[in-house]
Amino acid sequence: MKFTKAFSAGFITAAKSKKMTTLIYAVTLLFALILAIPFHSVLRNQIGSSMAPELLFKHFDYTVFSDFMRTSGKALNPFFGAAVWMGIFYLVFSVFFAGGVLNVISSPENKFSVKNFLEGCGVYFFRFLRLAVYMIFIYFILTAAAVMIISAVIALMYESGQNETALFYIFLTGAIIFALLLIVFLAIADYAKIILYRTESKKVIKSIWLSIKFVFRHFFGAYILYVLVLAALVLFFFLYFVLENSIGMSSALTVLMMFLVQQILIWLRTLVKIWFLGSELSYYDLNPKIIKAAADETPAAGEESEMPGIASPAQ
Amino acid sequence: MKAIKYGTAHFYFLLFSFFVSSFYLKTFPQQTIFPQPLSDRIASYDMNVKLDPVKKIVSGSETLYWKNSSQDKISELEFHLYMNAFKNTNSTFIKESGGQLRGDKFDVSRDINWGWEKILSMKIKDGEDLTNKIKFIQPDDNNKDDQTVISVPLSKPVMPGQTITLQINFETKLPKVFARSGFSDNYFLVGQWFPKIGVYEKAGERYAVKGQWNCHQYHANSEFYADFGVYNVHINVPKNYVVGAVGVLQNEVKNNDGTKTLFYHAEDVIDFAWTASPKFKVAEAAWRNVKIRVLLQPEHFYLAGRHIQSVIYALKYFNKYLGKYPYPNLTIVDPPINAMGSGGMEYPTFFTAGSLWGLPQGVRLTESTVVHEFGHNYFMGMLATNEFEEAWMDEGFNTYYEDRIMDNYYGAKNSFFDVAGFHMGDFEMGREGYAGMNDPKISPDFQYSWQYTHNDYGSITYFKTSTWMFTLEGLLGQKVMDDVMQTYFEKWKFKHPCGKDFIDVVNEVVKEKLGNKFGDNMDWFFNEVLYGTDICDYKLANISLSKVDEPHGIYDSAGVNKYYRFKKETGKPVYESKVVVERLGGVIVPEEILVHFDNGKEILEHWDGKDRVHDFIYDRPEKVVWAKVDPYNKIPMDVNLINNSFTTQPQSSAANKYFTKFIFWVENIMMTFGSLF
Repeated sequence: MKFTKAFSAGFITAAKSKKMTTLIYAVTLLFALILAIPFHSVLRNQIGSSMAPELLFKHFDYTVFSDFMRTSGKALNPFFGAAVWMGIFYLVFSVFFAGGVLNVISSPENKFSVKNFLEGCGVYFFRFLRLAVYMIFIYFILTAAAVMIISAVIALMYESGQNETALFYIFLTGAIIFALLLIVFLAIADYAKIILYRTESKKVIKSIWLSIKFVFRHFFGAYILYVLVLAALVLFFFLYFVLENSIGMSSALTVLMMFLVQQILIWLRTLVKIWFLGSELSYYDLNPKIIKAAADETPAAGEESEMPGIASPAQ
Repeated sequence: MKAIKYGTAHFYFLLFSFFVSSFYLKTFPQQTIFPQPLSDRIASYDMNVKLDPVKKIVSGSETLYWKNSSQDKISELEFHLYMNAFKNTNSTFIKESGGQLRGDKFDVSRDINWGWEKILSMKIKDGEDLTNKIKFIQPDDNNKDDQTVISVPLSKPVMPGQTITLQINFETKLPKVFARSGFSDNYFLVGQWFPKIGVYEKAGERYAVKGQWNCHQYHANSEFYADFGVYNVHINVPKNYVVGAVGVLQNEVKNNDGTKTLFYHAEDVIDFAWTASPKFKVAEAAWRNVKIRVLLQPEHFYLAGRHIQSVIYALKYFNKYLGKYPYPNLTIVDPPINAMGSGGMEYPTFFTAGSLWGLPQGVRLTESTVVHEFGHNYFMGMLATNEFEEAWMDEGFNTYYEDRIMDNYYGAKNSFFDVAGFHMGDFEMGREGYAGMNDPKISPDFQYSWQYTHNDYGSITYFKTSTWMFTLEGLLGQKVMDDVMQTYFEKWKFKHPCGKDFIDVVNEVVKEKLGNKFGDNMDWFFNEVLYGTDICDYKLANISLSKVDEPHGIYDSAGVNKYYRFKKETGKPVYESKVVVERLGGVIVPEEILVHFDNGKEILEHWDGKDRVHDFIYDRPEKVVWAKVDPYNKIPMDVNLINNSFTTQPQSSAANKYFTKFIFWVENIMMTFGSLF
């Protein structure tokens, strides 16, 4: 089946992209350290000469934690807010990296070079940014609609005296439908990126439309492919929690071990991101009809390609 | 004054009620629960009531036997009509609460959601008809729209020792549940529902210098106060309804009209409440001679064991550490999710808890509610304090016992919450409820319930009280604290103690057990924690070390100047270690300070805690490494435990651990955002 071929191809692509994965991971770590280093300094300063916070080293202690946050919350809370802003900032970087990742994984033998990577980042940044804005707007509408519909149904059932089991299953059903729909839209966003890349088009809305057509014409394959790679990510998290549970963080050695485990997980998350794109790119290429349809959107004869050296499939 | 309409229909209803009343009373004589009365039984009621589940109305008759236990001639009676609190948006309750209580909101969008209470007739048995003499009064706030208290003047006063018998017909429309009582669909929690006489406090009782009625309006931040009595209550409901009530079920009769009538009898209790719903599933158990009945929502039936286990823990603990639970039974009600406003409410031998389907084992919301509400049988039920005026004596003392019980049986660090490595003890949570307030100095514990106007009622009356009760225990030791509480319970059960009475017991027992360890009495403690608003915060401010030089320079001795010069050190150097302790708060308590030296030796210092700054100085070859104020956590009302210790060798293990965690969290937040594209 095509999606299994694409899944394997994506994995091979990701496996070959260790350098690129490490580069993106290093940038991620660097961004995290921009916040974490001052956080550590403020934390040490807040702890000062008190012995109480050391109790949090071996076990969680609610009294120590709540008293500490009450006295030091003002100094520490800005870091938690900043972490969210850092996430938003990182989203822009993800948009930036996407073109580079596609450039590298489309190249022969997936050969990584900083030049090739950055070239892809630069060329596709603005059209991918527009695509990201549209897709995030769609996610927002989808989430708002899901919240409103689920809340309204639950409120109605709550008022009519339905028991909690029914309320819970309604909520669960709503949440599952929302998650399933979200996967569809996340896949659409990925294929829209691929279409923009493959066709070198700047028509972002058209690419979304083509992507929707692609996903729905190959719904089963596209959907299962996304879910399979997602399952790999879930598996990595599961393994992480198993390790966290067995290692703990109650000595200098275990803290160091867990730090390594955590960073390996982040590296794997980065790898999975490439795996997603690699699989989807492969799946896209394995469906010639759609490639042909997409090819119709390629620049007309005589128009200059934005990416000299990158051949579009129609050429 | 608003006249009460009294029409022909009401006359027939009255006639019917008396007929039914006399029929049942004759047919089903009640079984005596206590051969010797436990209380003075000032206010007793015989009632016959019928629930209309469609109109959400409880109607019926009430015969009140009220004894004048004072030396006064009483020519006016005062009653509570609590359900009028839900009559309109201008009642004192709604104005104070803003139509919201404990997270539940009053839904005024439907007419059927309002509540009210009407007295259709009131007369003295074989005597004066008082119906037209009833007038609404507002003793607390002069809010003329509040109709929760009535005054009934009598033409002929009730003489000292005399018992007056009143025959009252009434109708109570239950509100949609959002605060304690009411209906939700076909679930009914019928509390504060009948015309209930106030408490006449005789001179010398509590703070009364002369005899007076104590009959407050229904406030948002207030529960109740009533005299003890005997209740005989006949309840008529549709026959498919499951009923639970205060007291002991005497009989249940199925009627030909599709209803049934249940007869409940209770002795030496201060209130009567009941519940009815066709959905309840019943679980039963027993502990010693106490029969336990749990009325559960069908989807919560699997949680029956958690209700029963926790109430048995509470029974065991209270019986061992405070006093005997004398009643033969108790009933626990589990409200439906859309009537959670009626959950966590107490009545004698009967209380509501609260649970959720799928509630994890480690989230002990149900257990803590059950233990807490059961505990009210002691502080609200048997000690019968005035909750309008001194809520801390009920809610605070009860929270103290709830914490003790929960922490004892479920673990001090995880009794309330224990999920995925995050855990919290019941007392820890309560202490944070006080210490974590934006302003713990906002109100004293000693004030009327409705005077808490900044969302501080719960934090102060429940949590500040329990925190200082644990502090008192820390100072006295648990054994003496238990002696205090047992003496208080034995001396004041089935009476109405006030704060001063409790303090007198503390002073008496502490004097007897500990002599003058804390001075002539413990009034200083209560002046700070009960009547005052200041906080307790001690700080281990600094440890400084300096090498002690041998003496040198010129010293006069008998007219001869002697010169001392440095000598080459031959032995171990001596260090002056100065441990500085500061008192940051206004509350003064005796403190212990544990000082640890670099050779492993430790000294436990005792300090009266009075000075703003106090130094402990040691000239020794050993250096002080660390010191802790209150090392054994005896003073939990210290609002900041982080500044209680100081070390000269700060560790960075915790900081490093949370540094690595923080990096991981930030990376995951970033990657989650990044996964959107």
